[in-house]
Amino acid sequence: MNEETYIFRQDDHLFDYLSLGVFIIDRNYTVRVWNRRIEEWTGIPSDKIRGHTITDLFPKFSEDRIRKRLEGIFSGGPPVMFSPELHPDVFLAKTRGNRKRVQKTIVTALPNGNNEYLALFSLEDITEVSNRIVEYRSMRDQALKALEEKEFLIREVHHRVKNNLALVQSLISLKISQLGLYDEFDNLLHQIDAIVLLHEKLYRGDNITMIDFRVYTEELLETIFSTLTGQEICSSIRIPDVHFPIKTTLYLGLIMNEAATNFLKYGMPSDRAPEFRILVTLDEATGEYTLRIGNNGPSFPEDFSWEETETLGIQVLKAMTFQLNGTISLHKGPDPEYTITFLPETE
Amino acid sequence: MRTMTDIQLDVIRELFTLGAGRAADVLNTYLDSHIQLKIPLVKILSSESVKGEFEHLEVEHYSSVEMGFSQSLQGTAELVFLTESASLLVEAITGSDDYRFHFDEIKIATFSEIGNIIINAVMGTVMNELNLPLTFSIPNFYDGTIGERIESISDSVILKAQIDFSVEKLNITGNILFLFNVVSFSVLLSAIDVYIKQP
Repeated sequence: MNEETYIFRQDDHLFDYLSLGVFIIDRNYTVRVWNRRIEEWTGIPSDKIRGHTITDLFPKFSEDRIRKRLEGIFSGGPPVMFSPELHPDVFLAKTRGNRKRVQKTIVTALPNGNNEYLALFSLEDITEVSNRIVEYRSMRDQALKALEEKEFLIREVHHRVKNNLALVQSLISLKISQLGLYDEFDNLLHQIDAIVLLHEKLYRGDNITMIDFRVYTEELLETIFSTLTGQEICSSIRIPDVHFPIKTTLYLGLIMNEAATNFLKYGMPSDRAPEFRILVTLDEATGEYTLRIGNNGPSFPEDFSWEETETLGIQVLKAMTFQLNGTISLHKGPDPEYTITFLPETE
Repeated sequence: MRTMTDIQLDVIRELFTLGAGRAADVLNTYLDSHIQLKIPLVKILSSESVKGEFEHLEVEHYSSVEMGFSQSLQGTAELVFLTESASLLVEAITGSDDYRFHFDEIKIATFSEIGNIIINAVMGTVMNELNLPLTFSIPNFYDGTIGERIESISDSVILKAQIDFSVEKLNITGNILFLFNVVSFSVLLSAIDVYIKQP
């Protein structure tokens, strides 16, 4: 049908067969058509409203913000849309449960001959969709609240673990000081430090399951170097932006602690400034990481056997690597270096 | 011809700015806070060159409200925003703070109304000032990558207008795209030339 030749017929009952609520008003806001669906929604029979102005029953139509939008319609202008969120109260209609009906409305210009246009309102009921969205938003908010509470509790646990470890550390320190066994036990205190730092990162950070490994390594080495030696150590830490899960970080932290304290105790060069290096690389093809821990100290003795040695430090390195399901090897020197390969634990 | 002279572009930008001001007036009647709309940039693009105008066009999701038009010109007008920006805009206008979440049916309806207001105001101004009667289809919402959208455009001349929203301290940028066939674009150019010559 050509729009130019189409002229609306008021006795056309086609609108009664639509699932949409439909009504038509003229330029004076007089109701010309009121279909069955809109009768059901509003409870207003067609014969009671046809011929009357719509503002009598729906006063919102008197408001400028509605009228301005409709102005163009009566001269054949583009369709106008009214959304439920911006216009919640224009078409007051209730559902059977006496809840407010939610509607999306499109108004189009309907040719009426003589270059006149009527405003054809098509109302789509989206009450059910809207209710589901409201329920979904409510459930989502509850879930988020529960998650926030859970995160808060986990942080609290990490905080307490950290405090308890610090207490244990103090008790051990007291005992060490009483017995005068500083050299024998200070490594134990630094091992605890590595764990304390981990829990501190977890309760202070944004993420309660993953640790920023570069930041963790920097702080760990700073703690070790500042407490174990007064000498300036040149550290080179090259770690990509990577976050590891708790267990992986814990074992790597203990490995780095062991390597660093061993370096300070037994591996410092006497003829040059001491250097300590950490390098982490990723093999993107396999997802495997390599941690290299090196220094510029003297080489290990020729007869040193990595496989057979039973020193506690090496035992710790091997045990932690085993826990990582990784591999460890030693380049004896010059510039000794441990190479640990591992796959981070999945979160 | 698929280009515009600087004067023609100035005229179209002036008309779009006028239309955007009218759209802002309508939107301001719905809001407690003041909204400003600006059209700082208008340019002509081809179906090919439009690809270079959008970042990550195969990945980023865009939301758009589209209204087709016919009669003296044939084409479509689309308000296009990154979906995240569209959601943010809706939240700014409705006064809630839910933008991180799903762009649901209710928000889509609000965004569609905003698009309808802007397209009607901008195209209405162009229609009236250039004396180009147009008939419009009802607004449609689309969500997808610009890459998908561009694939369906062939042999069109695209008039791209950047649109900047300022609501309180928030600034959100989107685009209005007008897609014409070559014949309609020529009609538009002629109408602009007539407008320029008017005393």
